[in-house]
Amino acid sequence: MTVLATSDVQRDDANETRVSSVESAFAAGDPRALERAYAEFSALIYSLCLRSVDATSASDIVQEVFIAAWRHHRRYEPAKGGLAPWLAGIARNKIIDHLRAADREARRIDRVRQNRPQTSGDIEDLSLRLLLVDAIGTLPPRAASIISLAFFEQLTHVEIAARTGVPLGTVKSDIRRSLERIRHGLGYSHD
Amino acid sequence: MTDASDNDDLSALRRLASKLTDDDWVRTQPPAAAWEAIESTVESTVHGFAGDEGSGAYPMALFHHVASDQVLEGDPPIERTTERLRTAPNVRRRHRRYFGVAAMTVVIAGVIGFSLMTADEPEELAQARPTNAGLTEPYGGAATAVAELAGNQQRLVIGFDSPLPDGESLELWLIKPDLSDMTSLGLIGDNEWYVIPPGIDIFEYSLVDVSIEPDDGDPTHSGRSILRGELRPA
Repeated sequence: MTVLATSDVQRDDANETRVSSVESAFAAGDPRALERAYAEFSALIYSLCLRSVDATSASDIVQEVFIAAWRHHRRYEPAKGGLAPWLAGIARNKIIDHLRAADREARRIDRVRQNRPQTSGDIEDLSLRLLLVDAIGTLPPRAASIISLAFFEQLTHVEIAARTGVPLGTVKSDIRRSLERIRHGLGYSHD
Repeated sequence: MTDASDNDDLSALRRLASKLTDDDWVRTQPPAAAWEAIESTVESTVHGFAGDEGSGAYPMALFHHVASDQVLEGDPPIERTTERLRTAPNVRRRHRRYFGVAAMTVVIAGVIGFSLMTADEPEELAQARPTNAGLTEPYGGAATAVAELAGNQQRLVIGFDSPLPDGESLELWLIKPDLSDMTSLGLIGDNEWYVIPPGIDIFEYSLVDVSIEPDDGDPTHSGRSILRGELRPA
């Protein structure tokens, strides 16, 4: 039987508290929050951009995202979801703008009469995948293992309990709590 | 939270997780210069830098999106063919490029944030009197807009003589008179002024425009202008 390690609890609390603290501070406009948010989420945003545009453009977009986010920090509501997905939403729009501008220069197409590029769906899908990975990364080791078994091996709660030796009730509560964290990390919460 | 909704979410997330690639697990830090540029520019943001805004939180429709095999297999065309500006179907929001380190002195003041050091009194460059005349979106008020030069920075000050539409997001624009291009100065809030991006000629982008913008993450002009007026030299 797996005994919950004190370090697991501490890491869980520390991660969640740190991220939650950054989110609250950012929404409130704490001048230090921009740097903290950048430290926490710039790799996610930059990695998202790199998958769609070149490195120079990705760096430009990262700058635009954090400046725009700070400019509109009052519109971010922590209760509605994490700061990461909010930033990713800004990044997604800026990537699309960049791709459109590049396309316009290359092909001189009447943009108003053209549907948005099909890549917008790809970018959104990519954004969700990266946010999911980051959200799993914020989970403590046991919960991350359990949710990974649920996601990637499609195991049921009973099967996970049998595989890991963790009590079924603990598996269920770990999954429930993990889903709450992941929902927040993907940008929505159940009211 | 019910077991049923947890099960639904678990199913949707399993589908999302099945799409993960090896690259999705890789994170790359941006170059150091990116933060340096943000740090040196954020003062403009505090005073109304014209940035864009993302779509905010994903609604519950997220899981409808993930759950739809059709969506995962292909990209539905996003309908953006509406002629946003009714008088100018070819208008597009100008692609905004980050302009790097601004030509001004910025002092980082620790806990109280960032402050701009300039001893120059603003120089008035042009004035406009945006009204609702000729616009299809009704609004009973008018505004006064002044473009001024403060140090090396151009900015637009706008005042409204009537209450703005309640509960609406409003965006400020500078538009070319032939409506061939435009640039956003950002959402209207409690800013004292709105920074005009370097490289924008206020006599080229001389129409001051205020529009109602839906919170849909679409950065383009909605076509719902409530005020418009042309800047004329002071």
